[in-house]
Amino acid sequence: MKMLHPLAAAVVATAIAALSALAASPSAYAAGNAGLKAFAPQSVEQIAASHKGKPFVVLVWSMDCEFCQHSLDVLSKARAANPGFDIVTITTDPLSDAALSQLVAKRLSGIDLLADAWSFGGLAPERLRYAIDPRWRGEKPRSYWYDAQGQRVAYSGVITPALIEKMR
Amino acid sequence: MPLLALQTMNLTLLAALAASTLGTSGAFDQQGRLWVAHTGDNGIVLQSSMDEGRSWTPPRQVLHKPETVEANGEARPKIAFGPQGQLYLSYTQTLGKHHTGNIRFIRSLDGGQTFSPPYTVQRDRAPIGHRFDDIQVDPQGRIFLAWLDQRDKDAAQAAQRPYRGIAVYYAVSTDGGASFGEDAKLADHTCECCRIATAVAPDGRVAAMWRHIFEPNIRDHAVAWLPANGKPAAPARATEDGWKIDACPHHGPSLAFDSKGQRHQAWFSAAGDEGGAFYSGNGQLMRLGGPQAEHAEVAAAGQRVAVVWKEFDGTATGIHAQVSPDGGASWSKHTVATTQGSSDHPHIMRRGAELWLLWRTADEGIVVRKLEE
Repeated sequence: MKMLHPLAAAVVATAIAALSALAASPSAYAAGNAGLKAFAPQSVEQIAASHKGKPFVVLVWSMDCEFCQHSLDVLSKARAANPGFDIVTITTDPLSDAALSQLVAKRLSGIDLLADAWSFGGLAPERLRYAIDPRWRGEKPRSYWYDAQGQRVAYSGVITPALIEKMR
Repeated sequence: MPLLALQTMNLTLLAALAASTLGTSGAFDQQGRLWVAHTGDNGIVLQSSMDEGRSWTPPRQVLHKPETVEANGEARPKIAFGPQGQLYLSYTQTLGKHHTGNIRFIRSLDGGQTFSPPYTVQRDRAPIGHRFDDIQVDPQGRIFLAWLDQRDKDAAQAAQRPYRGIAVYYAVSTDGGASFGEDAKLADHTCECCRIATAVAPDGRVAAMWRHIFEPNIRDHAVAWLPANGKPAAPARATEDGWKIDACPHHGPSLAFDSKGQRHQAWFSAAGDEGGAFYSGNGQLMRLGGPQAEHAEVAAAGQRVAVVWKEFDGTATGIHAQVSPDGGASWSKHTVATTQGSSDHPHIMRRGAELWLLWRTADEGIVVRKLEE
C-alpha cells in the first residue's frame, strides 16, 4: 500500500541523511529502523518478560498526538529523577514509514527514551491494538502500569507527575 | 538544526504520509455514477464508476499543481454535488508544521471533465490549524463548509487566558462555489483531532455535530445549525456520556436526518471504561457491536436509516451494518464486508432511496456494497 513517488523517496532519503548527520548521537540511527523495534502481536509478552520482577510503564503514543508529547516529557523527567523507573514506548506510527520513523527516533533520542522503543509493524493497526489490549479503542496517550508481579492497570489520558505518583 | 532542513523534512514527510493513506470518500451524482476521491502523490485523485464500483475509470489528478492533502483516519478530501450537477471537492491542504492547514475548494462545472484552480476558503491566513473540513449543499444550492480552527486558542494563549480545545468555523458560498463568504464561528471549545459531521435536514437547514470539550474536560458531543447568514445560535449538547479525558480520541461523530426530520447520530465514547460505538435516534440509544466497534457512520434516505461501523474480532476486520426501513423503529443486522489487512473508516453514500457502503481496504481495494434490510 505504500506508494512513494521515486522523486519524493529521493528527497526523503536526502532529508534523512541530513537529519542523521545532524543528530546528536549518529550511532543511534545506524540501524535500518533507527533503533526502533517492530511491534507485533507477540511483542506484548516479550516486553512483559524483559521487565519481569519490577514495576514499569508502557506508553502508547503517536507523533500527531499532542497530549502524548507532554506525556513523553513528563515520563522522561520522572525517569531522570528515578533511574530505576523503566519506560517502554510503543508508537502507532508505522515503522514502514521511514521518514516518520526518523522523526519518532529523533524525538525519543532527544529525551533518552530510545532504548526500549517500539513502532507499529506491518500488520493492520487494529490487529496490533487488539494485541496490546482488546479493550483499548485507540485513544492516546494510553498507558499500562505494570507492578512487580506483572499485573497491569490501563490508563487513557495525559501523564502528569501526580498520575505517576499514583500509578507507580 | 537548520530550520530549512526541518521544514523540508516535514513537507516531505507529509507528502509521504498523504501518498500512503487509504482515506477515501465518495458520492453518487444525479445520473447514478459513483465518484471517489482519495490522495495520491500530487494531491487528489478522482475515479468514477458506472457500475457501482465493479469497474473504475483510471485515477486522475485533479489539482493543477501538486499539494499535500490531508487524508488520515479522520480527514480525507470530500465530494459533494450541486443541484445542476456541479462537482465540488473540499480538502485540507497541509502546511509545513504539524497540525496546520488551509481549507481548500475546487469545482467542476462540466461533469468532472475539467476543474477550477483550487483556492483557500478561510479568510484567516495565519499558518495555523484550519483542518477537518466537511461540506454540504443545501436544497437552494448554497455550499456550506465547516472546519476546525485554531485561531481562538492562539489568541487566548497570547493573552495568557486558558482555552479548551479549538473552535469550529464555517463559510457559505451563495454563487455555486465561485467564492465563499466570511468565516463564521459556530462554537468555541471543540476537540482538536476528531472529524466534524454535517447533514442537511428535510427543511433545508444544515447542521453540524462535533466532539466538544465541555467543562472541565468532558469530550462529549454538541450539535448546532449553520445559518447561511453566519449568525448561529448556541450549540446544544448531543451526547451525555460524561467522558472526562485529556487525550486525543481521533474519533469524530456522524449525523443524519430522515425525511420526517428526526435526527440520527452515531459516536464513540469511552466514559467509565465501558466504551464503544453508539447510535441514537427515534428515541432509542443503542450500543453498536462490541468493545472494538469504531468509526460508526449513519445515513438516512427517506425513512431508511443505516448505521455502519468497523470492528476487529481478533482475526479479521469486519464492517457491520444495522439497517432500518422505518426511521429506526426496527433494525436488521448484517456483516457487509471483511478484510485481513489495513482499511479506511467505512462510509455511507446515498443514491435516491438507496444507501451504499464505501470502504477502501489495502487488500481488496475500493469495496462498494448496497445496504439493505
